Amino acid sequence: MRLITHNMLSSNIKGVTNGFPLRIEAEKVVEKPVEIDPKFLKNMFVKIDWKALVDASRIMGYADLPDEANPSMLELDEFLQKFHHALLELHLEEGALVCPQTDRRFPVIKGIPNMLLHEDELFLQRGVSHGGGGTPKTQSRTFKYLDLNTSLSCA
Amino acid sequence: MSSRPELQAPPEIFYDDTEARKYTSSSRIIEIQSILSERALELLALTDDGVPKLLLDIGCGSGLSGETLSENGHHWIGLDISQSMLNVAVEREVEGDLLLGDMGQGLGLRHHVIDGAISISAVQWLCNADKSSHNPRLRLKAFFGSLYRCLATGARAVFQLYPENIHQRELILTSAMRAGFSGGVVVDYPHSTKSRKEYLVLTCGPPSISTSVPKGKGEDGESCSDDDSSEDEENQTVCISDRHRPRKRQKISKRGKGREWVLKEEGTYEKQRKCCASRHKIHSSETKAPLLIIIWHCSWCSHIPFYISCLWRMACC
Ligand SMILES: C[S@@+](CC[C@H](N)C(=O)[O-])C[C@H]1O[C@@H](n2cnc3c(N)ncnc32)[C@H](O)[C@@H]1O
Repeated sequence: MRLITHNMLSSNIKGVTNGFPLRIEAEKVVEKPVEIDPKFLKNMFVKIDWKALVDASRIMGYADLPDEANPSMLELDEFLQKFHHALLELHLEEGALVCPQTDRRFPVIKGIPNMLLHEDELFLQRGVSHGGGGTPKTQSRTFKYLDLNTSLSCA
Repeated sequence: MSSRPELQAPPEIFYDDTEARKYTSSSRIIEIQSILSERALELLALTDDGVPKLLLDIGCGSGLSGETLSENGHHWIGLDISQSMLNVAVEREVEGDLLLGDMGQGLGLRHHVIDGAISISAVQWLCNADKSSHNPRLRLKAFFGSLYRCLATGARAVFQLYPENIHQRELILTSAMRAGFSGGVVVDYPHSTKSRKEYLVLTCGPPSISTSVPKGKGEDGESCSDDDSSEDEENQTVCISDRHRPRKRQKISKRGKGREWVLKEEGTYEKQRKCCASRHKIHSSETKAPLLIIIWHCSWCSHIPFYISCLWRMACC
């Protein structure tokens, strides 16, 4: 997982009001060089939470990003290089992401954060039962569906 | 094995190592996935400004669909519930970032940061209750609600799907509309049982010219005309309001319709929808052949934007 994704992720555990940014626990970080694209960086800059990116890159062992940044800096090659490196070249391979409010750990294994929530962490699943919680119009697996349209099988 | 995968097991069980392996070994699967994702990307109608976008691939699986996004120069984040499928994606060294997650639990993403989303043959999985705690309606609500929030205004989401029956299609469409999306269903090659493909094309925001549903391929024996798509792109800018957008894009509203116009549409939308929905009661009969009707304008009550596609079975055929 790269920091561009970390910068978008937030914890959606039930009751959490501010799940961003997830704290990083870094056990293994790898660098994979990719080509720089200034147009993409400029487009992304407005969406990036800068402080979160700076903090995350420091935890990942890269300390060259300035504390503050503004759009005029996007004209400077040196700044673009650093921004590019932090955003797209650092990968968290092993470690965890931690919810800032509940300290729940989401393990990162082989570069993939496991964001699956436990049942009791789900937002919508409790206390919402209009009409008895039944699901009249959906099929259950044991129900044999009659209108067989053979063309609609899953790829 | 001819039966639908959703009816066999939950996705994280169905897509095991053996099933996932097919996504590297079966040339048929690989070809279908790439054709479907090419088309989904086309229907996203991203602005053609040469700037790579940040996209989501929901149910990204082995990353075949993601590879299409990468080939077109975009960055992507993929979400899938099957570890086996994601392992294959890692093996393939896909360029996107991967997340193990369940879309039915909602997407844990910041608001208004994603430029578009695609999903290939995955959303119909949400219509099944795999655990006693699963309620398809709530899971669809969690999914579409969170997707709506993470997309930038005016951004699109395109889902290729295989609804099992008319109720599933309705359920999925209604959940999307309730979350605030406008849009409808595009059917490619509706008359062919073999190549018929359905795409749910959603736009983040109230209905406007920009949310009109593109034409399906092979409808009236024609393919999607170029005129349609270029008009679409132009209109896309109409919808953009105050969210985090690069300045550049806000200015190119060629139609001269700005924010006020959008807001006015927004206010009248709820009213219209109720009115239209009540007048166009859809009657379905399970035994008849399916027919696609896309209502572009609500001619019954003269309200202009009403783009919900209605699929129903006509009594006459
Ligand atoms: C037909 S496959 C799509 C494969 C993918 N497009 C590719 O290129 O490999 C459908 C995928 O949807 C995923 N899926 C099903 N239900 C899901 C859910 N609730 N959340 C996330 N992914 C899901 C499955 O695990 C499977 O990988």
